[in-house]
Amino acid sequence: VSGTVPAPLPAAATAVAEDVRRAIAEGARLQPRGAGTWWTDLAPGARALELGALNDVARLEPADLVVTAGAGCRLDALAARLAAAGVWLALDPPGSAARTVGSVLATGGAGPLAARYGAPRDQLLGLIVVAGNGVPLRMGGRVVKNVAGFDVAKAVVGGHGGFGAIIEAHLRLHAVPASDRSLAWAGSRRDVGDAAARVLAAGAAPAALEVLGPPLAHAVLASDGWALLVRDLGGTAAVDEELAVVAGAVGRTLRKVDAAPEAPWHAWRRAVGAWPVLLRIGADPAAWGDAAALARQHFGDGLGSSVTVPRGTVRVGCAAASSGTVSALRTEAARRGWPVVLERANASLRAAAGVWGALDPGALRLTERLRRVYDPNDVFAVPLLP
Amino acid sequence: VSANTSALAQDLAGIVGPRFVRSRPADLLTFAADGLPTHRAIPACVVFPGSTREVSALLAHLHAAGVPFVARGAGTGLSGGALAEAPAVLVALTRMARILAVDPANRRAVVEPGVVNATLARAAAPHGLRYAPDPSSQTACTIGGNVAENAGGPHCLKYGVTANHTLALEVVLAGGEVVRLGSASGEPWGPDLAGLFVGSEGTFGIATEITVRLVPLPPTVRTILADFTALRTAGEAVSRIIAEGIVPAALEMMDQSAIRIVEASIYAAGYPTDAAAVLLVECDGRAGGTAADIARAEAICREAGARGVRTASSAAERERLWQGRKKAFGAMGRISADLLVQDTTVPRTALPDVLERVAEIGARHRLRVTNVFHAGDGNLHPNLSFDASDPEQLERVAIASREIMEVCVAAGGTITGEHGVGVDKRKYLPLVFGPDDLGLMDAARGAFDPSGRANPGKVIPADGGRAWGARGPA
Repeated sequence: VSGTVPAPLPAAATAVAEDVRRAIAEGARLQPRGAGTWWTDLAPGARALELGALNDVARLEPADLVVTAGAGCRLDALAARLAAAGVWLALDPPGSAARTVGSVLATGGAGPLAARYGAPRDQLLGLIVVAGNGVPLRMGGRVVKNVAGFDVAKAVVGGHGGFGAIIEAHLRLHAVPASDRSLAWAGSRRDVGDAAARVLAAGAAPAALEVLGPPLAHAVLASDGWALLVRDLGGTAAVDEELAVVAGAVGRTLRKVDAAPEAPWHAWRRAVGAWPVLLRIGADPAAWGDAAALARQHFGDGLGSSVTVPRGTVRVGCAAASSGTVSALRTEAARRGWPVVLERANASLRAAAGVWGALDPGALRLTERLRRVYDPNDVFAVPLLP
Repeated sequence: VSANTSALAQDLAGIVGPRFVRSRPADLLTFAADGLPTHRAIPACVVFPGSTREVSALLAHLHAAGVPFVARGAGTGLSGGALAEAPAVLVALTRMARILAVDPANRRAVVEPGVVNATLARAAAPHGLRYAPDPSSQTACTIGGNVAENAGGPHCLKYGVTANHTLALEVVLAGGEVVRLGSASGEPWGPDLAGLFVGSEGTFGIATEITVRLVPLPPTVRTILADFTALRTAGEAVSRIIAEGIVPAALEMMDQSAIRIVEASIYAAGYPTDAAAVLLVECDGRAGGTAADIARAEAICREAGARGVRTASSAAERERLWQGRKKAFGAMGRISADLLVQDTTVPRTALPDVLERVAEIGARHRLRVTNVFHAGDGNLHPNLSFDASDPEQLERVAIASREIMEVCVAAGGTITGEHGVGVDKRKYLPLVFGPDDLGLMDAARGAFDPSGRANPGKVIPADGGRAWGARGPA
C-alpha cells in the first residue's frame, strides 16, 4: 500500500469551492444555508450559499458506529436512515426536524441530551469544509480517536458559517438502546431547583436532566409551574435503576407528571425552536437559577426558559429583543464568567448584537486572527461579533 | 555552555530564582528525551517556573530575545513532543502542581498544569467524582501534558478523551500575554478556542491553569478477562460488543507476546500464557445494569470463540487484572534495550485484518511486535522491540513503522489516536492530510503563535503545507 494519499475530497466540496471563488471574484458575500429553517433570513447584502442539496449519506457503517453525512442532510431523514440500521445520532437541538446536519454543527447548540452525550463538537469526528478562500479542506477523520494534526474543526463547529462552509461531516453514532424512558415532575421554581440539585448530589447521571420554565413546561408537558424533565437511555436494567435513583432524589416535594418516552422531547425541540430570539447562557451548573433570574431581569418572562442542569446551559426565549438588552445581559453575565450566545435572531439583531459578545481582549484578538485565517477573503457574511 | 546561553540562563534565573534554572550539561542530559526512544535533543537550559506570572515573564523575555521554547510536563510523551534542541529553552511545569479547586457542586476541578493525572483522580474521589481520562502513564503524566496531547486512556471508550473533559484554560501565549480560553461551563465565548488548544502539542502556548470536568464515580465496576486462541476472533468479539450497544468502560486487548512478557515479569496477573489474545472488558454503572452488560459481553466473547472467561470477584483481583495491562509497557522494557510504542486508530471492524497485517510486517522486518491496546476504540499500540544503538535495527524499525501507518490509513484509520504527532510522526501526516489541510493548520497555529517559537519543528511537516491565505479569483 505504498504511496497512500489522503482520501479524495468529495465532488461536492470542489463544486462549492468554485461557488465561493466565484463570489470572491464578483466581490459578493455569502451566507451558508441549509434548509433555511434556523436563520430564516440573510445578512444584508449577502447571497445564500445553498448547501441543502448536499443531502447524501455517503457512508454508513453501523458496526463501526460512524456515518458520513452531507451538510444538507435533514436530521429527521438521517435519523430514519440510521434507525433502520440500528443506530442513532445523539443530537437533539432545538428547531424543526427539517434542520440540517450542517446547521446544527454550525450553530454548535446541543439539546437536552448534551447532559450525557455532550455538544455537537463531541459527536464530530471529522469535516469536509470550504474555507473563505475557496479552498476545500479535510479536518479530523472517520475514527473515534484521532490526534493527527491540530483539531481545526473545533472552530468550524459553533462558528455559525463564519469559519467556512461545512460540506460533509463524519459523526459518531450509538447503537439504538433497548430502553428509553422519561419522567417528569412539576412544582415551584424553588422546589424544582432543589430537586435537580438533589439528583446531582445523589450521583445520578441520566441522559437528560432538564428544568423547564413555566410557559415551556406547559407547552411540553401541559403542566403548571416549573417542571423537571428527565430521560435515560440504555439497557433496560440500567435505565430503570438510574431513574429510580432520580425519583428517589426528587422525593415527594414535586407533583409527578405523565411523560411519554419521546414525545416531550420532540415537543421541547419544536417549542424552543419556535422562539424568534433565543439566547444561550453558559452558566455554572449550581448557579443556573441565578442565570435564569438575570435573564428575567433583562427580558422579563419572555417566551420561556430551559436549563440543561448538568452543564449549566440556560436557554431563554423571547419574541423580540434590542441589541442593547442583549449587550446588557452579556456584560452582567460576563462578570460571573458566563458567555451568552445569540443562538437565534433575525438578521438585523444578529448584525447589531453579534452572535457572540463580551469576549475578553485576549480571546477577542485570537478570534479576530482566527477569523482571518479561516476566511481570509472575508467572503462569509456572518456577524459573529457586534 | 556558551556565553550566550549562560547570559540567558542568568536572565531567566532573575525571573524564577537561581534554584530553578539548570544549564550544566549533566543536568541537561536528564531532559534530552521523553518516552520516545528514537530521538534525543539537548536544550539550552531548563527552567522551572512556579506561577503563571513567572511563565508570562519568562515567555516575554524569550520573545524579546527571539529564543524558542518547549513546554514539558512529566516527559512521558511518546512522540517526542517535549524535546527541545538548543537554542530552545525547556520550560518544565512540574513545580506548578497545585490543585486549585475541586468543586463537587459543579462537577469540575481547577488545576495547575503540573498536577499528576492520578493525583487529581485521588483528590476527586472523596467527593464521589473522578477525572476520567486515564493514560497508562497516569501515575506520572501531568494534566498539562494530557491537554497538550489530547491524551486518552483505557476508560476513554465510555467517557471520552481529554478534549471532552477540558472546559477552560488559562494560557500564556508565546509573547507572554495571558489569555483565558473557554468558560468553566464549557460554553465558549466565541469560537471553541479551548477545543482548538487541546491537542496542539505545545505549539500554541503554555496552559497554566486548566478547568476540567469531573464525572460521578460509578457505584459498581465489573471486570472480566476473556481468553482467545486467535487474534482474529478476539477482534471480532470487540466489534460485536460495541455494535450491540454495550458501552464498556474499557475494552482492552493484549496479544500473546504481551501476555507472556507480563507473566514473566513482576507484574504477572495470571493471564493464560498459551492464549493468542486476551480481552479485558470492564463495565461500570449501577449494579443491575452493569451485571446485565458484563453478562452479555461474556456471552458475546464465548460465542466469538473465547476459550474461557475469568471474572474478577474482588477489587483486589480487578486490580491485578488491570496491573498486567497497565504495567505491560514497563514489563516490555525487560526484553529489549528499547521500545517504540506505536499508536494508530482504525475502524473497529478493521481490527482483525489490520492486526494480521501488522504481524506480517513485524515478521518480514524481523522485529518483535507486541500489541497492547484500546480495542474498543480501534486504537492500536503495536510495540516494536529493538536496540537503538544498532543503526540497522533502527532502520528496520523506521521502515516497519511507516508500513504500519500505511496499512492503518488504507484501512480508513489515522496515524495517531492519542500519542500525538510530535517529531516522530510529522512525516506521516501527509498520509491523511493534503497540503492545503496542513496549510490551514499551520496558519491556525500562527494565530496563536505568530513567531513560531512555541515548540518549533513539531507536528506540521517542514515541507508538507501549502502557503495559506487569501486567494485571488478562480
